[in-house]
Amino acid sequence: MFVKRLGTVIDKLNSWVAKFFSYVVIVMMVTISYEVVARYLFNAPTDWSGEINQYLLCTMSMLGGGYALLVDQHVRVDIIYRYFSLKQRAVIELSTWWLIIIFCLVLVWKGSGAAFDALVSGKRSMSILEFPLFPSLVMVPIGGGLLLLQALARVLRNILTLMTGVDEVGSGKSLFH
Amino acid sequence: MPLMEVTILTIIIIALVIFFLLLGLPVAFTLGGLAVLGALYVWGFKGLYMLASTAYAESTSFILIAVPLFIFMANILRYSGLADDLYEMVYKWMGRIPGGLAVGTVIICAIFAAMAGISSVATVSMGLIALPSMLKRGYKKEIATGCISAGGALGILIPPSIIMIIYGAMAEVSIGKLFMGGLVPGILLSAIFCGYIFLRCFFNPRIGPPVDHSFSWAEKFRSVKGVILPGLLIVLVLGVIYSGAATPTEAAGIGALGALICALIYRKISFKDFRDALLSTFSLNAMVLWIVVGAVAFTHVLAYAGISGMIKDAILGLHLSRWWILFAMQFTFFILGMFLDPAGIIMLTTPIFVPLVRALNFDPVWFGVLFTINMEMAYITPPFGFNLFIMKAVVPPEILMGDIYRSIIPFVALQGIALIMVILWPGLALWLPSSM
Repeated sequence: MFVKRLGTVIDKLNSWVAKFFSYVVIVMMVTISYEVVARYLFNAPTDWSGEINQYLLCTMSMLGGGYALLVDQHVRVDIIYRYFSLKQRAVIELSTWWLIIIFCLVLVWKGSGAAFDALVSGKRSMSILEFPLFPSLVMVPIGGGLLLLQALARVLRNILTLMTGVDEVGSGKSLFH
Repeated sequence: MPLMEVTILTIIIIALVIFFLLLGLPVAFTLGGLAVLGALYVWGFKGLYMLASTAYAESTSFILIAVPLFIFMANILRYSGLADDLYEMVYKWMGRIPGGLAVGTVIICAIFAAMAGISSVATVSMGLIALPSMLKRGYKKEIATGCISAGGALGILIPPSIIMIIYGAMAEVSIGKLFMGGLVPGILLSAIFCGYIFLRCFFNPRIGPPVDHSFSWAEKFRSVKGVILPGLLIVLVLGVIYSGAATPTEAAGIGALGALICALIYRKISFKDFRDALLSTFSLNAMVLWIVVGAVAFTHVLAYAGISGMIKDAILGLHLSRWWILFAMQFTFFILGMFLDPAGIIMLTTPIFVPLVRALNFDPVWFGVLFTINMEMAYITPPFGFNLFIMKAVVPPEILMGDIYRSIIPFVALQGIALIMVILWPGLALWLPSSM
């Protein structure tokens, strides 16, 4: 079925993003440790480590939003939610999750505008490094887009649940993070 | 905006936040989504750019770089086998004391807390290692599960601490000072737990019977071997922060690398563990950063619309003693703690509370420490204490959720005592940071 396949593809996309970009933390760990060593042992602090790590944090955090939604990591209160039936849960989610979707749409829309401007004007950071801002700015719309897709997958699954009465969301097991 | 409009807006926004949260929408998107609606209301379409710029500004925050690094360090420790080594040491050294295994478990949790910025690592590890061992040796389930749930929560009070980093970033307080502020109260709270367990088991050894097997001194000293490297790591990470040799962010980088090297030296980590640690770091970090993004965008709207100012003026206008207001804030934390994760609680409350704390001339570092002690309770208060769910997932099936709920009652009371002590004697929290 097309809708189910679409959901699986989105899950796979975010899993793949997570597998690849989770290694960013290793780069951060190594560059920051190098900075400390360079400062104390070589007496030559770097002028790039701090700034590069800001961009790396942006990459890792923005791109992780969709994956965190996939594995149900985002903090939420499920105290009332738990007591509803499968179909009631689907109705509740359909009536609240549009808030995520407009949030993501704004990030994609305004974020890609800012990234596009930076690309066209060749905007760089105001530091010694003068690093191009486009690669990090573009993470906002991409991250918003990945989160948007994962949220849409969940909305589609809720619609399926409503139609078939079968748990397509897996919301019953969301108690343990 | 006229006062009437601000008042109505305030009521509507608070009602919407509660509505969406109760229906199970994640905190990050409740705040972020309402920030979109709020921005549209106060600025129109041109105001929406604020959300993208906030997302970028917060996710490139220099302070928050420490968050994924400390999470990664904690995740590596979880797979490093260190917990086994520590428990073996405790078993050999303290097993013969009444309640010794439970006291030792609290000490292990405190050591873990000094290496990990989150509470789940110690709770999971001890739940898997110490709990079965204690139950097998006749420890009563209340004391065995209670000491792990409560001990695990020490992770956020004893530095490093992710919760303190988020609070520091939001309240614009030095992370290094917050960390040092949590150290003495953290050790104090651990000592209170240990004292309580020992006294109860001393007067009633059936709760935590001594182990009737003794070890030679050679065996005892051999068990210390596995603890030396991690011990050095703790001293290194906390030492560089205290001395100012490195920023907390840099200490996080070194600490993560050190933890990884320790795990590799002891050869206890497989490639699959490593990848799991990476993935878990990736999603936890994203969770934290997306809450920050949503909450800061929400805060901008509240501030611009004059809502935060109005709530502050309204509370100050009551002319209550500042201690009553402090009490009300702590009470709010406690109640929210029953339902929400600390990261969400900081974000919901800082826009209102931090300006109040400053206006009332309370020290924001001290307030941060009080908040963190309060959040220790949040981890173990039902119905939604995070550590209780971790415990339920690792305990044998004959221990019920009700048993776990009952087991934490004395520990919540002890945490409450520690909170009151730090309120009465602010020096407990402020002495160490002021000596930096």
